[in-house]
Amino acid sequence: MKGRIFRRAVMAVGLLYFAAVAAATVISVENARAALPEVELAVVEDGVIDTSCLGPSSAGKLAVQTVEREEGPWGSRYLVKEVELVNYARIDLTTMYVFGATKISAPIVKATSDPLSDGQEVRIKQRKGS
Amino acid sequence: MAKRNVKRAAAWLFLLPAALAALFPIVFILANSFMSGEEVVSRYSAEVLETNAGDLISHGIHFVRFGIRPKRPTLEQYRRLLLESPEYLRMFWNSVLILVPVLLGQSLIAPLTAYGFEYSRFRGREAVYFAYIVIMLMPTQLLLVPNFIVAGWLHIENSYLAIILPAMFHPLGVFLIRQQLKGFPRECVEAAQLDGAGPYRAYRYVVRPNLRSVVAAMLVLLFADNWNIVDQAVVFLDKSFENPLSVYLGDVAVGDPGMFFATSVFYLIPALLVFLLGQDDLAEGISLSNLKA
Repeated sequence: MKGRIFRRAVMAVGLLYFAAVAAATVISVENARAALPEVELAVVEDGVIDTSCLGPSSAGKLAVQTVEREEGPWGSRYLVKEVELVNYARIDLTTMYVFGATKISAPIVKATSDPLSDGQEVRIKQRKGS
Repeated sequence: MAKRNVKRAAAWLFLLPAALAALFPIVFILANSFMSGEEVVSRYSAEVLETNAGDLISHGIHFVRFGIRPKRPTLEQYRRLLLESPEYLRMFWNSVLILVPVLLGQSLIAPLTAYGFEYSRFRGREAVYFAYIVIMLMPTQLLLVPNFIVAGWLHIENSYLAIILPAMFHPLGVFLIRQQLKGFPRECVEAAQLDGAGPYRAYRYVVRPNLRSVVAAMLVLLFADNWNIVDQAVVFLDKSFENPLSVYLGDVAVGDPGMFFATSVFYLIPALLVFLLGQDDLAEGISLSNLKA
């Protein structure tokens, strides 16, 4: 009888432990996601890039930041990759033609909540209604 | 009476230090888990830091300061572990993900296999059993290469199945259960068969209900074995976040020492609970198997 009560107590502690870990997992994943910089994306169409997507690279050259998806510990994660631009020509005040930009298949960063660096993980801003 | 007291005192004299020595690592880890990250780093870092340079200045040598009394007890390590470290939690669940199928599989497969070896009559039975048991005596590292080759054939390399399947068929459980079945009265099975029960029915209703203790003992031993896997995960799993926590504990100690003790306690709790839950069965199961623990 004593043994049975002891076992039940141990099992209850075990269940509580796993429930606490499960809750902590959900909270920590949400916390980690909320702490990531939020980015708004744009796509490169026919080599034309919005000038708001351009910025200096770590080497001081003109660059765009692409966002690539890869498998992470908790589903997909999105990483920033810096792509330096070599040949480009301004079309007007808001757009620029980049030679070879058609090779950039990944979406590029249009706006960000925090400064980004190469390899940094980000979260993508959800458009309203999507 | 006096002789008995002397014997008792001698036993205490031997057992008490042994028990304290066995308990010390647990007490040490538990106590240190209530230190702040900075205190842990300052006490145990091999590097000379601003916070631990006192010894070097006064004695000319840098000491590691072992201790079990935190300067200011805090739950900071636990808070960081549980609320700010999703990668460690993922590894904890990886450990669970590997362990649960292994235990479920073993609790189904091992008793049936042992029953088959004990009650089925076929040519070469003992030779097959011997070959099966030899695997148990081999070190894990030796089995990794054949397991890796077979995982390649089955296209399950880089997946948990490559770890789970070999563990599910590990012969330890079969050995323990067969040892117990050797002491099980054959007449019971024969009586069931006379009453028209087939081999499976005899197993299901006569043999299996009597294997509770030994199966529980087997599960406790397998838990300890599989909760602490390192080699298999290192060989078979590609991505670091797919590793179980056992593999990552070493990295925590190096990369994030301020959280190491809380992670260790966190990792220790399931093992402790399983042991508490199965300690009676473990003793009974092993003694019924006519083995010495």
